[in-house]
Amino acid sequence: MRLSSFKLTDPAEAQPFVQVPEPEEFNVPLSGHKALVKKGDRVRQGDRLAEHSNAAKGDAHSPVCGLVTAVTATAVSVKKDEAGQDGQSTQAELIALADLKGPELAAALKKLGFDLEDCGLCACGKAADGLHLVINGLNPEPGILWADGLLSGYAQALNAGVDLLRRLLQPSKVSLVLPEGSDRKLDGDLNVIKVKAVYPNSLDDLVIKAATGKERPEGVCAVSLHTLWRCGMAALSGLPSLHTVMTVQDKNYIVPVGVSLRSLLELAGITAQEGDFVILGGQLRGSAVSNPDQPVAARHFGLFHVLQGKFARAKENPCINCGLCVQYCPSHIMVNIISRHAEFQRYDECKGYSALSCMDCGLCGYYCIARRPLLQYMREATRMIKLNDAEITKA
Amino acid sequence: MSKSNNITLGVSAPPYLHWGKTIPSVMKELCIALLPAAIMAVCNFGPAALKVIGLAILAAVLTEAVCSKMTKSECRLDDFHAVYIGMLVAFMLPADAPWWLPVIGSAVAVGLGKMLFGGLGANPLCPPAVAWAILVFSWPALMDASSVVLNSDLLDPLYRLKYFGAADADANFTLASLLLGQQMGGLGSSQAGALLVGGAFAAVRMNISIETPIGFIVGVLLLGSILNVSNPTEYASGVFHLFAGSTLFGAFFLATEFGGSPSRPLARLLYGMIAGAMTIVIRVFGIHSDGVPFAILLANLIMPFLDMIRPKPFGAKS
Repeated sequence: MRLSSFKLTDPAEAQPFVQVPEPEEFNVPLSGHKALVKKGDRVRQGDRLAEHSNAAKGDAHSPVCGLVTAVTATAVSVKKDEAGQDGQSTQAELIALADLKGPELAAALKKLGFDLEDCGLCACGKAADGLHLVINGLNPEPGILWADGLLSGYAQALNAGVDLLRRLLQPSKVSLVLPEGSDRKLDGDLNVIKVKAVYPNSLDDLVIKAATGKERPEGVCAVSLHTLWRCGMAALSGLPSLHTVMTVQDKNYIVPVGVSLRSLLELAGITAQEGDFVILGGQLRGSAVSNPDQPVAARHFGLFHVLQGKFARAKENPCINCGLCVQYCPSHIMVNIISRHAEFQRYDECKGYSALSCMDCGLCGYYCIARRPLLQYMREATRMIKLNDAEITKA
Repeated sequence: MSKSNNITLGVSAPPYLHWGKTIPSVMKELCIALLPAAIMAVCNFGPAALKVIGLAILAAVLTEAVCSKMTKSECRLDDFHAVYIGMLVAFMLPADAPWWLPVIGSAVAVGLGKMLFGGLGANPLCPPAVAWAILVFSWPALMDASSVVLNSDLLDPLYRLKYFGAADADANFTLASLLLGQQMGGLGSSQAGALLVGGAFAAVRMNISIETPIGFIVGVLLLGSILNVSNPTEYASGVFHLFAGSTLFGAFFLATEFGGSPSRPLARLLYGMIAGAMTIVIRVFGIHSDGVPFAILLANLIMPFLDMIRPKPFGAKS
């Protein structure tokens, strides 16, 4: 597919969000969770199905009132039941977040299914003192369309989300980064910054640079509108994070967690043929889905269908030194050299060429005329450098 | 790949968008960009030019096939780079060159210039320029178009300039005649107007970087004009140097070769300017009347230093 530009705004953004109907059976995805229910249990909407042993990783909840029909390592299946049986409530007890702050709020958010790192806390679940919170109000990638719709149609939820994050992180300053020409607002004392709505300006690193003028400063965190909306919905409803916003091809949907990707594709009128690609996330940084029966998780934000043959397959071709990846790299690093070192597991050399400056934008792979899997090499290099560094500090 | 309800979805590494340009598509378009000059070469020098081009392409393709076989590496002839090199080598030869000259030229360009270093992109020097340099030193008389092409009244503008002075060169050549290739020289490299059209096509389609030819042209015009202003009777104008000989051929097609040119726009601009200025230096102060390939080889050698001109990596501490 050829893009004439990497615009992050689109006229199609004006379409209202479509509510995805609830299916009869949900598969709530687990990743490293320990199940709290067993087959045959009755659960209410919002009941915890599984907990994560890591205090910074969110637990999993039932999207409906019903019966647990299966528990596997990767999902808990819940079948919707007739509501109001035995005079029981169909909904879990609501959790009021309004009075909580700091660590108590963090613990409550974890129990409501939020990964704390997404909410601006460090991996250990702590907030830096005097933090500068930057709200990334741009669509994360070209093709994703929900940012403007959230700001215009869900301002109440977003405001509740900002309020919640203020209590969670106790920031000294809150900035909102919006696309140029947008007149959307959020309540409160926000420092609004406008940036050109062109990819890669939506990457957290560049959004933080736009807000602070510094590259990778300490004590600054970026939170996406997507997370902010989910936080806000939890704050307003008192229920866990049971929905997500997704752009499916060219429309926005409010999707219950646990719906299968297959049903989403059907709803959007997409029929994938043999060999086609189904991409979860953005088309530049997402991942190809091998099994369309995979369920939607709360962190998912986009689903795309890419026809077979739209692009030449990437494979381990040799680099031809054309320099396009270097020219378009927003991190100003020599992707051509780093990728060649990464190819042969020479990660110390990768580090020497500043591989850690990579922002994971995927533009190198987009432009590579040799069709090398450059983003993959960069991800491998940065991951291995971090692992090796962690080993060294431990020793 | 996994099967689910009889559909196997494709999986591969991200990104799942690509701008559509691949090595074969770029090389094919570069060959197309050379076609106007090839047609003009046939108009100006007759069908003999076609024979040279054909032999050069054939030899380049065969050499690459043999080299791949000998090194037991994957044969990448389908990327069309060998065809492109063959055309470039032929363009620098006289139209009436003996049959074995383009064959040896292409074999040297592909074998010594490219495959010896590991194939496309690994070559430190521009392969066709390497071939030209070796041919010029080995068979200087056969590489001199004026003494090989006998059935033509065309004059070599740079030869006239070197031995008869700027006034004589100006009197014999108009801008229009230079653009139409009414000059003796390499069969394709002297088709200034056609090369300008082809080069513009290649640059607009983003098959070559635009900074390198711009830098090259600026370098030629700048140094040429400075010398011209200092002594107009002895030195020709920068514009004359731009359209005479193989300047535009070098700027658009030789200097932009992947392996030998830097990666960043500013470095490319400087690289082009160095090559352009060297062209003038060689033409004015050297023994060769046209020095474009030499200038490019020298600029290729400076390339690693130019690649050191780079901005600080994002978020780096120092």
